[in-house]
Amino acid sequence: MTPLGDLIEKRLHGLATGEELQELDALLSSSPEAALAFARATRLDHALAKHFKGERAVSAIQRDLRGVRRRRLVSIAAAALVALGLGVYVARGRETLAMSGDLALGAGDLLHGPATITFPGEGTTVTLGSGSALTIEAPGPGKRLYLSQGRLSASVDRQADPLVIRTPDARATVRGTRFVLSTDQGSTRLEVTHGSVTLARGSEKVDVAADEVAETKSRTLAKGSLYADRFRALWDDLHDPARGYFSADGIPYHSVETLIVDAPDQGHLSTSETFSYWLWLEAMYGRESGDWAPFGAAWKKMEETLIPSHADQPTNDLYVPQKPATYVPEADRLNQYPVAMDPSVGVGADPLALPGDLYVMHWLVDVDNFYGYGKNALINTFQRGPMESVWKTVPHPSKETFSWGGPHGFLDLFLQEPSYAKQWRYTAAPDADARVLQVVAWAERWVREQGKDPSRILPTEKAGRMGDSLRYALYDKYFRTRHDLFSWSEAWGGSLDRTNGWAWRSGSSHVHFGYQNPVAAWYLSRSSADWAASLERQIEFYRWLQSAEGAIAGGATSSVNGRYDAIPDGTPCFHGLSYVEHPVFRDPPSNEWFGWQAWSVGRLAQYATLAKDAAAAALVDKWAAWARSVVQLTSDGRYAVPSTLRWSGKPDPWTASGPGPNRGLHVQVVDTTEDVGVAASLARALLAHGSAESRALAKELLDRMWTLYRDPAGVSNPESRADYIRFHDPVDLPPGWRGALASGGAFGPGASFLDLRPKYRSDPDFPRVEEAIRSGKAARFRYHRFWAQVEVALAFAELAR
Amino acid sequence: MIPEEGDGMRSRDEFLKLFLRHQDDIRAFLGSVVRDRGAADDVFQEVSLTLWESFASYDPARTFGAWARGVAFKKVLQGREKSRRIPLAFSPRTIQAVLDAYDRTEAAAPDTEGLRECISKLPPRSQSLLALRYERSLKLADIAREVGSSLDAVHKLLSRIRLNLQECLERRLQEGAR
Repeated sequence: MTPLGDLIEKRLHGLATGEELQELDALLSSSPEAALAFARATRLDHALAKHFKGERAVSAIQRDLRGVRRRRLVSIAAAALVALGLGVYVARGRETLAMSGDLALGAGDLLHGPATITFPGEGTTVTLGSGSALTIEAPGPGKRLYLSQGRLSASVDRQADPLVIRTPDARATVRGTRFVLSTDQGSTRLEVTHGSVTLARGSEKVDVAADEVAETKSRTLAKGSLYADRFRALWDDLHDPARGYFSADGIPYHSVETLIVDAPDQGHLSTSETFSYWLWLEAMYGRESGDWAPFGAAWKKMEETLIPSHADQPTNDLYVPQKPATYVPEADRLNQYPVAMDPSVGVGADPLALPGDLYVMHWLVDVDNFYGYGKNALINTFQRGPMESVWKTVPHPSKETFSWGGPHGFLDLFLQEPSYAKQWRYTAAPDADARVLQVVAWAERWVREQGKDPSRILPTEKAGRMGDSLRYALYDKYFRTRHDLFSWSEAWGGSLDRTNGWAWRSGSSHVHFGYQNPVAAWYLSRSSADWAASLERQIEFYRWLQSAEGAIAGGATSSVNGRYDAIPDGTPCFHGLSYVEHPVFRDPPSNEWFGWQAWSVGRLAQYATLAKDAAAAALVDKWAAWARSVVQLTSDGRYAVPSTLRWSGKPDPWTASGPGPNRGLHVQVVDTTEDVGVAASLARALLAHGSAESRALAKELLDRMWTLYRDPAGVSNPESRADYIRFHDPVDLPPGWRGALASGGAFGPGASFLDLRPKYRSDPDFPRVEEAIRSGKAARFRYHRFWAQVEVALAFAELAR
Repeated sequence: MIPEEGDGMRSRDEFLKLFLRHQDDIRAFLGSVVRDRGAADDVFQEVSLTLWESFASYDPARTFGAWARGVAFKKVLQGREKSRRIPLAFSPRTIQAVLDAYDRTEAAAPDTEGLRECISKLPPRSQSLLALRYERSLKLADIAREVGSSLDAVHKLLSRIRLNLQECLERRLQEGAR
């Protein structure tokens, strides 16, 4: 037997001395042949043990796996971490320089993203983007990487010897920092978020500091503001026709993707919310570039698309303000519809008595004619009380000509009347119009900062008109009271026929804190006592609803159950309104969505800054402390913001002179999300709050989001849509009702959400919904909602300032 | 992307198939570099867990065995760095060399059928010696006492038997290749 063979055998028999083990160690590491012999011998040793002891029972292994699986269920986040390391291994080097997931990487190894690379003994992480290629190079003496294609983000611990990352045309030298490096078609881009990195091209060199970006595209190595650059990158994406955010005639869709059921029930519908965000985007663009033409164009398109023309609201002159509308009770359950008008219930007079047409947006438009009522037809869905989720809605044209539906069009699904007339009717979602006015408030300021006259550049007069028309939202549905708050809707309509013609208008009794917009009220209050009163009332409203923790609770109503029922005993009141935990809708409960917090308090924070209002600032301070405490930043570079909130208790009854502490009103975070839109809204609210802590968290959220979810079309995170199982939910139609759909076919009781939307069956994503329903496993989508993209873009622009 | 529960269900059978085929090789590798059998078993449990949890990241372009041994290698080194509670037989550099050797000779791993045949060709005395060593897990000193021989003689005898088996297996492999 050779000396090596003898040493191996001794090791296997447990006879080797320490000295002999050392000898074997040296032999194995210096001679590949020795290592091969050792591998052969140890394999045989194990095979013999197995042969003589019998195979380990399969069942035992399966038991192990079940144990593993249980553990996996509770540690899904940890599994996600491992799953990130999806590198493609090409060649094994000798020394382990880095790890990807559980792969040891050595010099010469090539990885394809997505992959996460870690380094033994330190916290440095390099995350390689999808489609990217990175080679591990031999140390020299610090770490050496070569990014030949794509994008990586890195969080680098302080290095004794600098880490150097080469690209085809440049070299980044790093000592300890966080940054994103990308290379495409021979040019390189470096984004630094913390610390600094030196970027070199040939003999040229530039030190890139935190919040800066440098590119090799230009003739000289130039650097600029990182976050202004990200705003511009998203602005470019949103306007790139290839990305699909706009229709051919320039209307922004709710989302790039067509199969999506949010409040708008298809992606290529558009909403007043979408337009309000578009105007935000263009106002910020005007601020950054001085070019206000896109803002003007967006306003014009909004007007053309969503503000009904005179021809579309033709009989306003027949409106009688003393008798603005006939009372219709709201019903609790869907099967109680249609409901009958009740003229015996008194209604108030309309003190606004605005002459002519209203200048606010209808909330929903069918851009691609999904429903068949015409391209860019104004349509509506929600009509049937608090339990009508989107899955139960019956889409119908806003102009009812009896061409589709039953003999009375769609009217008799909702309203029971002795006779039906052809008519027009529209519904505004006041938070969207308010957002438009909030944007105008900022735009005026920015235009002035640019030394220009806002009235020459911005549609200020039209904004004033919108503010005037929006005052209907400050009233109870039947003008029995004026609550002075942004309520859930304002609606107006009239007969199409002038003979025996009529018109009606209504406010809304239901007020959600999430709709309040003190910036809009502040802007309008300069020329309107109504809006000055609203501003004061809104600030009180936030104070009344602020929970012990700081989050803001639901809202209030001037009409309990939509039927002016008696206020239940023990219900706290606010200026005659009674507290409602989830105003307006309960499927799902309206104030469980965290987004309302970020949206609404973000506005409150902006107002506090604009108006230097200390009381408002105190509310925001308390809220921001809570918000910061419920955001999670994990060591794997991810983030989680609240998704669902649960409420308990009630606010103290309101006394303006000494508001109660609301010790019994509480919020709890039920679950969390990585949703890019909500996270960006939160970041913006924190930036508006402006404390160092809030700004730091906002920056962290946005940087993480950019690293995790930047994609070729924008920013997008995967989301599970368990609710898509409801495509087959029956919409609950009255017994015996039959009607025709413009998109094809007849429908009646038993018809499902899908039956009313037959074009969904040919949507390219529909098979995924079917598969999800079949398998009972939620389908996952990546959506590019217009509002969310804009929110992210705006957050970066605001971070840049 | 977070692996879906459903995906996990689907991939479970595939994982089990690959895992069962390669588990012996993983154990062999661990046994070769970890000094204590119990410790090697513990690491094997950890490795199995990690393999299952990270199966989504397994790239079928490599062999499962190489991937699994890579995981085992990392676990061994991690254990060494963290607490030194895994008694390693060799330095990390040598363990890497052994890993490379295992990777290069994966196809030559002894198959169950071949081993059975080669053992059956051994003289009965050799077979019973192997049984003492591997079935009853006796230490060499105990075997020597049992068969009334010296420790050194048993060591040499067992080494020779294993050499014979190795040759027999290689012959089979070459015949199979032809």
